[in-house]
Amino acid sequence: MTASKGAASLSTRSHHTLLKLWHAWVAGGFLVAYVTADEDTYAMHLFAGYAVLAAIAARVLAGLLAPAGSPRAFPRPSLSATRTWLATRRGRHPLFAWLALALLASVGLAAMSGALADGLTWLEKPHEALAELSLWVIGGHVAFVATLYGGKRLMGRVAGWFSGQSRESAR
Amino acid sequence: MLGKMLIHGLVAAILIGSAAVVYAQAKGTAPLSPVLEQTHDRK
Repeated sequence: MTASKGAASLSTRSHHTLLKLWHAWVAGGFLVAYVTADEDTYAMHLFAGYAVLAAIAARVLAGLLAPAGSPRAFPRPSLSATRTWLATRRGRHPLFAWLALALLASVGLAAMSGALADGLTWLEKPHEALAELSLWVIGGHVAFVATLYGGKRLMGRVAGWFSGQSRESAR
Repeated sequence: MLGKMLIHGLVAAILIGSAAVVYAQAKGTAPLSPVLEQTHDRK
């Protein structure tokens, strides 16, 4: 029982480590690709873009190979789940899945169009537009996570402050 | 958590950026090689 619990927590820990590594890989690659999107730094842009494409491909492969219910499985946002969450406000926030899918799609398409634009020059403008769109989606994802967790922490502090005051007034 | 992840992203950017510079140097199109260009010009 203890051993299986340990194995489960280890797998959760390793899953978190993998998730963090993957986030760092995509974010680092995207940052380098974004700031080197210039003629002078084209080779660096190419390298970083392929690093992002490889990260997205690895995530897609992991999602395809993951068994159902695994934390590595693809996020599957649905309108019915969103409606249920809005009615009950219980469970995971549906925006997690929507934003994750939007991120994978926008960053993946930006990286893919960039790789193809090397041969198909008409793809250069759509590639730039997709990269700009990705930046907004990334910003939205970071803002959402920061607000959700930072907001929860703030609410916890406020609740703790109020409960502390009511305990004092009861004395 | 978010702060740590931002630092991880920056570290990854430094690693990928460094690898990208090495790749660009190998291809002979590195952005940090004006000195090399000057050396080539003198030759």
